[in-house]
Amino acid sequence: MRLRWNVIIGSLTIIPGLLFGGVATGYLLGGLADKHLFVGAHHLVNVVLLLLVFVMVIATALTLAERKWSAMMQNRIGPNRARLPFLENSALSGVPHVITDVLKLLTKEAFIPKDASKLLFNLAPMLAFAPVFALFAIVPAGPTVNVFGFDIEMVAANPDFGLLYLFGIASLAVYGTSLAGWSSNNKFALLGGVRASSQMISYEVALGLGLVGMMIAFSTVQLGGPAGMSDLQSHYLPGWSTYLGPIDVGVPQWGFLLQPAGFILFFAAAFAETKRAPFDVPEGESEIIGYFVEYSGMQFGLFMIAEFVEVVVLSGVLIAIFFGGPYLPFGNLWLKSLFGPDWQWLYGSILGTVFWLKVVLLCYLQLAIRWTFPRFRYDQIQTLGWKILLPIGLANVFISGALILWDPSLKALAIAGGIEILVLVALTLTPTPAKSRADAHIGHHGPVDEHGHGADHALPAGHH
Amino acid sequence: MTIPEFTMADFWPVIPAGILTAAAIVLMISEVFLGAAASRTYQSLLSVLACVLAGAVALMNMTDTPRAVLQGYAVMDPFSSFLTLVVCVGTGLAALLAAGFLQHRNAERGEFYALMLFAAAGMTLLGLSNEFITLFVNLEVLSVATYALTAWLRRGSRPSEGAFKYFILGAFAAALMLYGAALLYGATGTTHLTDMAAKLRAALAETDASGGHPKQMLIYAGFLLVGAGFAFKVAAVPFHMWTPDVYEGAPTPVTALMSAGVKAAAFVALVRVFMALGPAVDPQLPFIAFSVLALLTMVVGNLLALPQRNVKRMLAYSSIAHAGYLLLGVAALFAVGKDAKVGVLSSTPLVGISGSMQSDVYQGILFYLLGYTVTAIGAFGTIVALERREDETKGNAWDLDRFAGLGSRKPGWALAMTVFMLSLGGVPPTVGFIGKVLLFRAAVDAGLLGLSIVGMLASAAGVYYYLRVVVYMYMRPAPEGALVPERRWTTELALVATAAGTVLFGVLPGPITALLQRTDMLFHR
Amino acid sequence: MVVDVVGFLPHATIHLPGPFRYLWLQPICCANSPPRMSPEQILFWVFAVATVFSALGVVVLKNPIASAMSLVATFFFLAGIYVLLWAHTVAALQVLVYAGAIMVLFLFVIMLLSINDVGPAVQLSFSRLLGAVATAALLAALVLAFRKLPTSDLAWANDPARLASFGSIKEVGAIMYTQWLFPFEAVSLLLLVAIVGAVVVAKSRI
Repeated sequence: MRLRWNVIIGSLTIIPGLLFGGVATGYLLGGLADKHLFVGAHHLVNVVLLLLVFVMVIATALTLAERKWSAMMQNRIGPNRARLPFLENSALSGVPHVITDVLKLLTKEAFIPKDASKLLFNLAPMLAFAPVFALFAIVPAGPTVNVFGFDIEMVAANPDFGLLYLFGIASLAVYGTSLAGWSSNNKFALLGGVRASSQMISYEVALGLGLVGMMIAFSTVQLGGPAGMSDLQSHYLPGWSTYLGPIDVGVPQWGFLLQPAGFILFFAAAFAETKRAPFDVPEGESEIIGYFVEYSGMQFGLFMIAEFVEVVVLSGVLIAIFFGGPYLPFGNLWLKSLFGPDWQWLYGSILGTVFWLKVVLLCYLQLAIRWTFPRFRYDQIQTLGWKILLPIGLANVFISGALILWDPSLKALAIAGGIEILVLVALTLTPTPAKSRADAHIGHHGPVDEHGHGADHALPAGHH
Repeated sequence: MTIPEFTMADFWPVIPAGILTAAAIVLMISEVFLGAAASRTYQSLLSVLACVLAGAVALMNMTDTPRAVLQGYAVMDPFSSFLTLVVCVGTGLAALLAAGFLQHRNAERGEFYALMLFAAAGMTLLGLSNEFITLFVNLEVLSVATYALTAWLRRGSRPSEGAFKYFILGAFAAALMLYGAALLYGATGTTHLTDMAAKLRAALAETDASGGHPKQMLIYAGFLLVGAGFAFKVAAVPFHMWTPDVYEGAPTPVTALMSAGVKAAAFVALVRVFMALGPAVDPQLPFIAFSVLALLTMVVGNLLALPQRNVKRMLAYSSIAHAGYLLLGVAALFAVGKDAKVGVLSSTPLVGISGSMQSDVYQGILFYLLGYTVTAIGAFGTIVALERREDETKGNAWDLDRFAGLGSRKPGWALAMTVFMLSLGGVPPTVGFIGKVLLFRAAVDAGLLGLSIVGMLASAAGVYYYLRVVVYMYMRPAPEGALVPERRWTTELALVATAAGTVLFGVLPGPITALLQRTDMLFHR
Repeated sequence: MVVDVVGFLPHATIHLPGPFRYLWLQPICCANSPPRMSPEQILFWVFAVATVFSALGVVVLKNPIASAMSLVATFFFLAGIYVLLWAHTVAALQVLVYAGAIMVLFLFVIMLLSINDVGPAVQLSFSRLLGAVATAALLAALVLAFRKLPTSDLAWANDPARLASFGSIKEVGAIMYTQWLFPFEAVSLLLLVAIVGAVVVAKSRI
């Protein structure tokens, strides 16, 4: 494919630029709110800015991005029909489709099937959307900096039981899906709802266990604040840091280094909670259509946008817990020292931009996974949850706990984590023996045709 | 905040429960590696071994100084240590019985013994809990384990009915008790029994502007609810309705465990709670309540047992009656002196309870619990030996006719059953006799003459239905075509052990009473 | 004062204007304060009324799913009351455990069993009547008992150090794993027994 430099350079400047502008606005507005309203009012600004602007805009952009990226992966062009007035000659990379999609969803009839339980039918999309959306409230999207004499935290709320809030609210999302399935008065929808609830119940255990190692390592369940996981990851492991000229470098205590197994557990479990391929049996487009089969118009739109919001929120949570939050792997102290006391909001805005760029990268990773793996069978999903992830999680908790007890400076944990990462990389790079690869190919993709292509290239054509 | 220190001295009382739990976990893990047809006799023996070890530790704990341990959430006193001993004896014997019972039904699995050991661990922990939340949790440990054990054989309607009734009513009773405990907590601001006693006094004495006692109702309501919860667990009349159905529906070894261990543990907890809190409220109230309960339970239990032809059901009612005798002992603990306003059936002037007499009553209760455990498990063991799975659906598996002619067919079993029946009836030279003597003597000393006479009359009536089994065994011919029951060495070992124990403790109660001759049986602050 | 869990609830006191003065309902604490409502009191009444109504919904609603959802709502409002009692960790656990885990399983079971919408017809019988009388008596006794309770402030209501740490997850954890060690471990035993028991009862062939 021809490299379109104008597009690449354009996105490399426009995206960080927009993000930077947004974060800087957040810090300045937060400072003003604290100054003129009351101390702590910046949290209200953050609710609007982080949840309603950043998360919603990125999620909306993802609806397009998913189709474009999947098209790229399948050597298609993707959505390009919608045009803006006066710009009929340019598809604008499909961006106008976002607008047409929203218009379509808003103007369609909201249909309620006969004999459906009306109250619950209308309640279900809200219950599916609200918890996912509310999850982001505890994710810190930037460092705490001093603006106009007030400490501005870039987080909507920072309760001291942070991760408990995460688990508690995440587990509520299942109500939306199961109620949607039940209240539709449709057997396929009910099947989807039951599948969804059993899958989400199964993976909640692994979800929790994946983070216990991090809780022990940092001895906190808080995400934001000076003692929260996000800020603790800006520190280097004690003794393993130095200065290269003015720049500080070292081994940062990022969650991914300390707890690679915990990361994989949490990521896999949370991915299952989003109900996206390969964990999409509750939808199973080609078999039962899903728990939202009877929904139309914006009610369906809520289910769909909830899925994309979940992708964004999951990326944010993963970054806050495992990938250093808003911080760079090195040079944070140097960056902070570049700005005077009145210009700290610039330092905060740079790191906030870093956070959102990390989020976008992880969103891309999730889309890539979604379009790479075929759907798991139902029994495979349950086996993975109960027989693989759960024992790994338990072993990880005990081993990590023992290592932290032995060496509270976390260095032993980091070494163990490094070894785990090396083993994982080696396993990934090891070529599969020829015979078993053929088996696996048949097992997953059905009979191999004479060109060697699997049969699963027939992707849902009607996806857009 | 200050982090409390824990030393080994804190953990000695819970070590028996730890041994039982560890054995249960070993049993469950070992079960994973067994095929369906593998021999599982080791499971029963491992359970017995765990019980022996735990019992040995409990025996050691008997001689230790009474003290509060684990931040006051538990106590270590001879009272609870002896209960642990009794529970271990009961569980070990029931596990021996279970081997034959389950093998006969092809239902022997490690989980059964594991649940039995969990239940036993719960019982021992219940005995030493000195705080309401701990008490409730441990009560639930033993209850949940016994609910599941009751439902172990799911063939037919009887086990399901029994398990379901037990579960629903048990949960209800637990909720009542928890509600009562919450009210008491609301009145005093503590859940520790020893603290609560002192604070109850202060709370009762509190007066408001109009001169009333604002917290009085709260406290009395709390006591009522807690008492009702305990009355359910010990199956005191009128909270006894579940007993016959549950005892009949449960697998017989489980019935044996329930009639012995669960009851003993519940009694010990009841004594602990009410001895700590009762006197603080009003010395009259617990005395009257327990006297009435004892009276009703003794009389109704024995009367209901009279017409039973189903031996398992008869033993269920007899266990209610025995709870009544024990309640008589509990009532004696609260006996008040001459200033008593109300006395139930007290023909002589009440003398009240004093220090040494209290020790006598404890001794009587504990000895009675041990004697009843050994005897009841033996009696249920004979049923285990005789019953056949084919008859259970017909409903006559436990009919008196099963015992007809046993004296000539199986003289050993008949002799053992005779010993158990005599002991349950309180006939010398058995442990049941000595237990009754100790208990009634203590009650009479405390002035409960009238109640004691009723108790003796009731137990004399009981002799009728106990001896009827003996009559059937020796004086009725065996029915035509009666099958010869299978012999199993584990069951017979349990029968020999219980029969020997019943006679031996009856002839030579000395070692046990010497063990119980401790001045401070129950820990007080 | 309101426990400022999220960090932005303004610590303002709302004074009620004249005619509404008599609407003021005296909460359990602060009997002698002037007639005004703090945000805490407003929140308390919101949560309390909502708790009672959603709990009523559990009993009254005919549809089992709606009934279960009403129970979920009850747990949420209860969690709100816990927050007002300085127990925000307990509130979070309440949502996590009851609303998030237990009720999901309830819903799952109801959906799988597909219970009929209409329950059995309620018939008046002696035992029902007796039950109703007993319930009413218990309610009356409790109301009487609670009405008489003294209304005094907490001893440490104005101790900022205690207020800052009370109910936080650190404090709850420290107490639970040290002082309450024995009951805590007993609960772990209880959960183990419950799991084994559930498997034993539910599995068709062991």
